[in-house]
Amino acid sequence: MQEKGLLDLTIVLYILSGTTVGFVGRWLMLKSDIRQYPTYPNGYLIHLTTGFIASAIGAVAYPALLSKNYVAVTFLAIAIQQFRDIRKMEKESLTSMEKENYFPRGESYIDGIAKTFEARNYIVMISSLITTISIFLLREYIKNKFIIIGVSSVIGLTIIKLLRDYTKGHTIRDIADIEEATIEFRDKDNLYVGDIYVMNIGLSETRERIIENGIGIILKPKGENEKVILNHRGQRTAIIHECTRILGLERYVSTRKNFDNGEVALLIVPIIKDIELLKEIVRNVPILETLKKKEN
Amino acid sequence: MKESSTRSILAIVTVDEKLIIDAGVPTILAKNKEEQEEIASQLGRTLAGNVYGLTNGIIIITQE
Repeated sequence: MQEKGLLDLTIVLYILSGTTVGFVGRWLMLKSDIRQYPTYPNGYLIHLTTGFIASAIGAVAYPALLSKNYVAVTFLAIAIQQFRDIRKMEKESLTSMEKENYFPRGESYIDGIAKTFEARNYIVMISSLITTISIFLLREYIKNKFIIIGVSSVIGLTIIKLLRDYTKGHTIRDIADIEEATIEFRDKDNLYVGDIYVMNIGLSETRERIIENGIGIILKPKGENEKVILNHRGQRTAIIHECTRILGLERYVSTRKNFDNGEVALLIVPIIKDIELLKEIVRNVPILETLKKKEN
Repeated sequence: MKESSTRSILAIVTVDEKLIIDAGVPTILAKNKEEQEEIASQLGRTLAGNVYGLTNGIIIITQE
């Protein structure tokens, strides 16, 4: 880029506009799903900072190329490498906390979360890049720079929404119906949730405690593909993790499948006994990306 | 969470010694049902295991 171009305040304004659109987009994506990690101040700061850097790289790329500064492409490549490192870092961080959770997240769930963070940085970078490109293209037709920035910002935010909707996953709500089920012991020691055998409990005191404090629900898959998803070990681990994370775990939690119809029983003895909250938690558990299939 | 493909039996508690033919694990004979459950509960906590009841009245403690 020529020195005169670098000092051009209008160009700086355009780059700042692209950066702001990307940064605001990252902020909105953080708030979009408070159930997912991070929901903590340090997590917010880390992801907003990386989001800002991603948006700045995206916003600078086009003006740099216009001034025949092809090093900008190299910066993009380096940025991608950095974002992959972020995914790796997230994965390691979540894996290291596994033993301290009430119930582990499971590798499939962790992989999905880490990929989501990486993808969000790309969304930010792409939206900033498109915002800046729009500004430079509109400059040829519109003279008022504030109108240009306004229109381009709308385009950038639309791109964020489109990409976010495209990458947004489904939840258990989309694949299964959830019903409360009775908990009872048959043949003295065998615990059933509805008609599904879940586990064997050898002590009468524990049996009484489960009857008193336990909650049982049945997940009924809506179709054959849904049966496959619900029966996946990683998916069931993710369900249990979310339930125990929010309700706490007094002692027992388990899932069992009914081989005849693919229904899955969930038994939990939580610290907070709230059946409606439990059902809502299960409905909002994301379907793991590795299990998604195209409909026939 | 401990992961194990097969859970080992850590101990057996029974009220009827005739039900145990042979055992490679500590087998404890209780006087009655109440004592059987109490011993099983204490063993379960001590060994950090799971306590299961069989239909013939035997209680086994397994690896968690």
